[in-house]
Amino acid sequence: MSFIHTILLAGLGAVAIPIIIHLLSRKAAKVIDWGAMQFLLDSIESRKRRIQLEEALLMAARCLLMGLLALAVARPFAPPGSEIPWVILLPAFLLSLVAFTTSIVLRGNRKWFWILMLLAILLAGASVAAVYYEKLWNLKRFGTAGKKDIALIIDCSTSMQLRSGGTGTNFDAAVAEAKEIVEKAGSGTAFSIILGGPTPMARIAEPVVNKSDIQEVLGKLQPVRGKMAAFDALATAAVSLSRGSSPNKEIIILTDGQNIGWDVDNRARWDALVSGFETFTTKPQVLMRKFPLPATFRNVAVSGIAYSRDVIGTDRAVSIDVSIENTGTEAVTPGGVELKIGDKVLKDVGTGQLQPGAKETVRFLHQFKDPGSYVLTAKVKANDELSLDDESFSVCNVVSRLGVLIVDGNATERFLDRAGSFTALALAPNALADPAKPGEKKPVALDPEVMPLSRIGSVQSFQNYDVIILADVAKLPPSTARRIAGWVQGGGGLMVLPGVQAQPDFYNNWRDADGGKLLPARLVMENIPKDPVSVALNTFSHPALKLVADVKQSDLGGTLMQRYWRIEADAAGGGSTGGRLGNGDAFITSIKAGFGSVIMTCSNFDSASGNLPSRQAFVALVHQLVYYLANPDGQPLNRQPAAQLNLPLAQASAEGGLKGEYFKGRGKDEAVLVRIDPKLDFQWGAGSPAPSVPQDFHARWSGAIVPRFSEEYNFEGWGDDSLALTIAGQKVFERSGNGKIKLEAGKFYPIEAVFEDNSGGAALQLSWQSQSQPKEIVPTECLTPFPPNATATETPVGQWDVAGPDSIARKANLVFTRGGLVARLEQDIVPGLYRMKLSKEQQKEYAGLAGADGTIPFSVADDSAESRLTALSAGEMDFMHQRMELLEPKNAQDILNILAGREFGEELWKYLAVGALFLLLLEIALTRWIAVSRGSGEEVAVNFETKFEPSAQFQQALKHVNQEVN
Amino acid sequence: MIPETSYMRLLPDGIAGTLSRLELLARAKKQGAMSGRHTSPNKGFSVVFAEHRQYMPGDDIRDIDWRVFAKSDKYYIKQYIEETNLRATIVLDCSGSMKYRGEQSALVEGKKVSKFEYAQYLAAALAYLMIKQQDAVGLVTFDDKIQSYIKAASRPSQVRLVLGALDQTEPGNDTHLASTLHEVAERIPSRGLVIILSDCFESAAQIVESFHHFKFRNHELVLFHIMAEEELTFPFSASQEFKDLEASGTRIKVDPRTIRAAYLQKVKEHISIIEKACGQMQADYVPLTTKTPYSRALADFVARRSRKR
Repeated sequence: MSFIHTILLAGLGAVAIPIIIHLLSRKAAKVIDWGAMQFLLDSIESRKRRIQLEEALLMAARCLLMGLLALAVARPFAPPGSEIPWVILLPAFLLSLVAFTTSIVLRGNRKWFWILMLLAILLAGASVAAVYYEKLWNLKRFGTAGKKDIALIIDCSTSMQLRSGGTGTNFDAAVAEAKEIVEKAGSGTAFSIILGGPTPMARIAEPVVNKSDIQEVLGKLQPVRGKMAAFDALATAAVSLSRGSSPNKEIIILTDGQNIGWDVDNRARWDALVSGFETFTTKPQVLMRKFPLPATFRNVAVSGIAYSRDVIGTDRAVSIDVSIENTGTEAVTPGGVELKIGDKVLKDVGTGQLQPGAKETVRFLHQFKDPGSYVLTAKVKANDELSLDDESFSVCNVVSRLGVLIVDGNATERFLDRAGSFTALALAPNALADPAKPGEKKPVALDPEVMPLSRIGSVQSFQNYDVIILADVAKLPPSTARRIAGWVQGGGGLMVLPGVQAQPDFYNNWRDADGGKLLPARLVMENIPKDPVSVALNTFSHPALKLVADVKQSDLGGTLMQRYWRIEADAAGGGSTGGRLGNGDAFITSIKAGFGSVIMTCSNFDSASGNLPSRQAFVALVHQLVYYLANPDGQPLNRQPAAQLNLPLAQASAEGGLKGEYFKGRGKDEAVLVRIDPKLDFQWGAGSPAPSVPQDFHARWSGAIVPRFSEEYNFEGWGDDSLALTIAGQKVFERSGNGKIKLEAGKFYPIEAVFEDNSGGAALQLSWQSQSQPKEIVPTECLTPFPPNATATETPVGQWDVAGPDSIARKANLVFTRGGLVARLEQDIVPGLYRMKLSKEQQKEYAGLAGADGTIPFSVADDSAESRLTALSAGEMDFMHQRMELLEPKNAQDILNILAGREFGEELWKYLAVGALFLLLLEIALTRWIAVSRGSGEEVAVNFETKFEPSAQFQQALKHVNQEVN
Repeated sequence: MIPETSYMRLLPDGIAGTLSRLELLARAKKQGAMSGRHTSPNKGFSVVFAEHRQYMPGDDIRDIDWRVFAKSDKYYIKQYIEETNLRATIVLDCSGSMKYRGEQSALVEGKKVSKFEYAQYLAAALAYLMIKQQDAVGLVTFDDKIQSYIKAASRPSQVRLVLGALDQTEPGNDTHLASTLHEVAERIPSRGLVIILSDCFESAAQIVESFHHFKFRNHELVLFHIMAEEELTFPFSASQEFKDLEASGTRIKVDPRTIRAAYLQKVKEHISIIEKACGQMQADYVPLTTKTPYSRALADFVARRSRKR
């Protein structure tokens, strides 16, 4: 509590008036010599308490009245975030007044006089000290007038679109207040503007002073879909403040105070932010201006679009679940739910009435005809208050085929005894069920290819495969193992099904290119239990097992394992167990390796291991595992909001080869294409390496070469028009030809080859030869595009324009990373639908991702929790108060007051005035009551008359005598 | 005429007429009461010469001593000692509280009297009246102890003695009314008439107890309960400081309105206890406020006494 007119507190002296009157009336008393002291003393004794009570009450009422008036005139106010609540302070002070006056009334009684006086002094002292302390504290807080850097965060979440009473939306009101604050803030105040969406968007990243610039930016702000990631916005604000030059920093948040996005549960993050705040010269204050959330509102939202499987082909229909939720406070009957796929309105399904909080799922069934990307728009027809969330987007990528390579470690046996037969059958029941018509083409998305282990070395590239399954493979040749490891790290999915032949030495030492373990688990020993072991469905936690873990739909619980490997998940390396057997041994383990992932089960899926292949759910299990491995993160074009979006465009086949960068003409510009080339052996002729590369181009390959022998190698290369080769910094040859260099086996030597094609046909070839090495084109397995400890693994390739949900122009950077080519978006990522624009050449190249209109669509999801309008709870506010200098101003004027270093707060004089009025009435009532209670003495009369009546005779005699005398 | 001594102020002119009238009345009453009766207890006892006294209007001419007149040319009356059973002792409370002089008290010689002065005048008149009736009169004045004690006697000079003593008396200290009354009850010979003039400011129970003592000693008791009007109505309104008239001099500041009811209640109880006790022990209880002229009290007294006989 503080006072606006502290000087007027002198008016508290008026409290003395009733006391002085009381004392004077005692002093001025007339002295009467009195005889009947006995009765006086007695009656005083009997009335003493009551008299004192009356006097004390009256005095207290009068003193309080004066005190309240004096305090009201001094205009007290409670500053925001006041540490000592005025509701305690003010009564404490008034209590001290009461104690003081009462002590004066009771001064006859020494004990009570001192007790009350002491209490009065203590309370008054404490109150004054508290007010003084708060004043100092306030001055410290508000005293930093003058130059300031201010980070202005404006909540632009969906809920800010609501109207809280006035004509405009909360967002409009917030922008208007922001403008007012900028307009009226002291000169020299620098503002940075941060739009608080699902990811914070710094509209002015570095604090600027020019008001017209700021106003212009404020004028252009638009609300977006989704929540406000408030914590991230604060962090962004802190970063922007750190770029400012003033020592004084403030953060203003204009929000509707929804609790979503504050991330209060994450204490570690908050502590990090707070310690960041402390690096400033003065810890910034956070001014949180809350716009009211409406208490009642009508709203139905589309809360999600989900597919029944993660990999969608053209082979069969997929069911699409659209969930809608009534997030409002009133029951709503939506006019129907509609799903648009591309331009086609799929169906219009009516739903019943939705009670507040109720959710409903509408299922659509659709079979896609062509591969490519489709934009799905789900819309609920409801005339509600928030229209933004009535519509939700999803981008569905339909693949033409999913390449699965099943490496059969036991391919010589009868069909059903082979290691990979059941798996292959499970993946393509249709393809194999009718071997009579092999020529018939079926719309097959899953395209399993079974290959005996012996042929694996001859596979040129694994690039055509999405998933590789090793079925009962004893071990792989080292070079193949290395290629597969690289392929996995580049984004491939590997499933290891260890069977009877599996060699633990090989699997347990299978390393990736960086030397880490590739597999999620270690083979310990093969276990052949006496009694078959069942599968514990309730332990199935891996996302791919969700469908088969459902006891109602799955008969997997009846599985009995007769022989299996006891595998031990490598928790330290990131491996996790996704399901267990009945005896607790791991059933399935998984790990993410680079951009790909690996699943390892405890046995091969064959008849020797148990009855697993005979289960009905086996087909589903294999499908789900393959889908997961192909797309571990679900649909790749549906993303969550993030500061940076990386959309995979093409996987890098990183099992070997070199990274090839293709440039236009001879310019030193950015590469137009980057890819992994397995070996340098091209015959382009008159064409070009890719549609996006012009005929006139030059290219550069880089990576490392790993020789097989420690010998002197002779490299021979030719190129049309020219090829230059550098190994380990040493120029081997410059314009085609050959050169010799001594290399050691197994070592990584950096290699660079530069090719130029000036005109005409284009072709090149690089081969090597040594004493032990017959002449051959340098093979893929001896080349690696990403040698260990390579520094620059990312190569910029170009930029695409992106059309987003709003009018902001965005650019996606194409970057070639270890995982392949990605489109990277780092700007204004708000929920909604985006389309990346491709040139015609690029459209051919990325046909699998592009939609019908030739763009690559992708969507950013919003958070359905935003629609629920859950306000920040008191506990959450406390949490923040404990960590920051958090103020809660009520309007723009308060904010300006804080910025200008003026004290402000909730004025309290009204309460005091009401209190004074009440006391006045109380005083009148008391006086009246006392008067009435005293007046009761008026009726008491003492009968002090003689009851003796002289006899008539005597009276006559008296009369007679009187007459005689007269 | 009676020599002009200071104590004569106790019998102011205003009362003289009343006194003589009462005297006459008492005498007539007595005579009237005796006429036609043979059993007058006083008969044959009033023949012993006692003294001469100046003739005063209303005296019987037959009593004039013509021989003295012949010598001195002044009217003197022969007085005879009348043997009587009545031995009256006036017991006067001289406590500090009796000093209270109310605003509403009666005027004597143009002055407002205090309770004590009122009692003084009344005592003087009583003494005079009774001696005039040949009764024996004694006087006890006391505050916290007996100040003076004059034994009852019916000598005409007793008037001077009693009045002189009355005149000398000043109201003094605290009263231990009850204990002193016990002492008085012991000291005066039994079977007398005890006339107490007091404000009875003492615990009612104790006072009543002391009255019982008088009764035990076969005294006949008359209580002139003298109080000031203010003490009965407590008419003060503004805050007052009450100073104790008794020795302690205690001062109490109080707003009289706050305690009026309680005070009056106390007084009422006190009076009613005393009055009731007097009624029970067949003592004469005469409540007197200083507002009432004491001549009326005298008449009242005479009336009461005459009825007794």
